[in-house]
Amino acid sequence: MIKKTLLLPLAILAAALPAHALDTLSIGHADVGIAFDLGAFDLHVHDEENDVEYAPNAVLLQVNPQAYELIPNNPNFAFLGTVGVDYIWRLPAVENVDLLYLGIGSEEITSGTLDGDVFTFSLISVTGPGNFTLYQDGVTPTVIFNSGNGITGADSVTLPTGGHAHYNWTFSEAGTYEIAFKADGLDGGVPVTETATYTFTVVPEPSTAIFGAIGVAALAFRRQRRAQLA
Amino acid sequence: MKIRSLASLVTVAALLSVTPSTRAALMPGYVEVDDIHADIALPYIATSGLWQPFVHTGVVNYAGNYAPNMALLMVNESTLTTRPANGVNNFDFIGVAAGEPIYLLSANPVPGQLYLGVEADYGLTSPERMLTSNATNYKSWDPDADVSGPTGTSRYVELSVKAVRGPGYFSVYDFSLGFGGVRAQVASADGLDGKDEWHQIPRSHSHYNWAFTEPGYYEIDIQARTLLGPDSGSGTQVMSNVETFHFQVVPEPSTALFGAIGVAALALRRHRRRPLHACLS
Repeated sequence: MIKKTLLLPLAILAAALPAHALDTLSIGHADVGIAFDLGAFDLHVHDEENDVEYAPNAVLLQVNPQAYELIPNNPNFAFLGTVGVDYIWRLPAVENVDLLYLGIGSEEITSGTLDGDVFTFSLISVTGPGNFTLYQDGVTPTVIFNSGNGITGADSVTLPTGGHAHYNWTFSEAGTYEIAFKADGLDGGVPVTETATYTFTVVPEPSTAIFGAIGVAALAFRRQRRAQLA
Repeated sequence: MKIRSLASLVTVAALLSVTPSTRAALMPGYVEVDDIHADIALPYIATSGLWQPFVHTGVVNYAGNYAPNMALLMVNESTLTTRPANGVNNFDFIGVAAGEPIYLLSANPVPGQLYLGVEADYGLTSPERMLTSNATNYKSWDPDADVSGPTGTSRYVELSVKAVRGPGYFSVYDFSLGFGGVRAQVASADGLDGKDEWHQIPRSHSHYNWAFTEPGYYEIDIQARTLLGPDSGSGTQVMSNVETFHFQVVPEPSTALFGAIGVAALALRRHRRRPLHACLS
């Protein structure tokens, strides 16, 4: 019984990690890559550090504990939660050596491949313990995707082919997220589309994980004592 | 000022417009880089022991590399905006008052504008990237402290702005100070004091906001340095030459137009004042 009590918080912590083994990217420069080959989009992850490409379901994008931040007390960031109160995990648009530097890149699509040299990139679904947003910095932030207010047609952006940009990726809770994106474009007037699901794991920052584990252990211990007294 | 001769008129016209003579430091055949993703770079090539400054414009395999004096980085008319007001962030470092016009290349891609980044050895071919990015080549260091100290936190290539020659102020900034806080890497309005610099992580690149307060031609002198060697040692500092990168901030169309109209009006006035016999002779 004691062993089960001790194992419980570990099990909770382990639940934040995916059950299946994948290659993990947790630092350095990587892109959600969008290519177009043989008349079809090819959505993937490009590890820019090692010049390796992964299928979306073959790589885990890890958000390290150093991404944990208080939402600033600035009303422009209210789309993330309660400003000055709530915390989130954020992969920033500016490189931080402790965090994954994740962009969206379409450099592999050469000019003239798609009509207008543009495509639409959309958020389709988010499965996970919290909300996901993608936004760009500026005098006021520009929100690209926000699952917190429902996923609609507004969660999409028109991007140029042959381009590359970095964004802020935020998550409101620790845990594993399955996030589906879609690319749409026109190839000689013919619509082409492709959807792919990417897996993010948001690692709890240490104090939350420790206090959570202590709390769970205390509750389990109390339940055990009550059961023994009954 | 009274216009006294045709030569004077030409002089005024030259002052009101951008002429090729102001770009003398550019080599013949230079390219104008506009409406594209491009990066400026000063990577160190370990194999040769040389710095390799370039502007790269190629989006596939980084094929379009140019020496700094072969590329004119265009800040076109569509970049005209106004300086933001101070609020959570303070933008006084730009050098003009809130609401005044500035020309801004954004850190976020904007259709029709140059999307300009800065890189370490990101755009090089694979063998060079492998060598220059190897952990045994770059030493960890703290660029804000004495470079000789072995207690650095990471590997960097530092790019310092040494001089700005142009009609207005130049600044570079992003929103990396805390959470959405503006960080001015470079601000010429308060003078260049040795703190006007970027710190690029080798084998990566970043995008910034590039602000110019006046239209015209700018030369920006940049010098790079880094530390080489294992983390256990004090490292060897290597510095590049001072390299000049060239920007053309296109005059606001109305300014150029009004300037041309003014010169034409003066010329017409002179023409009408000429004595009749001068016209007949």
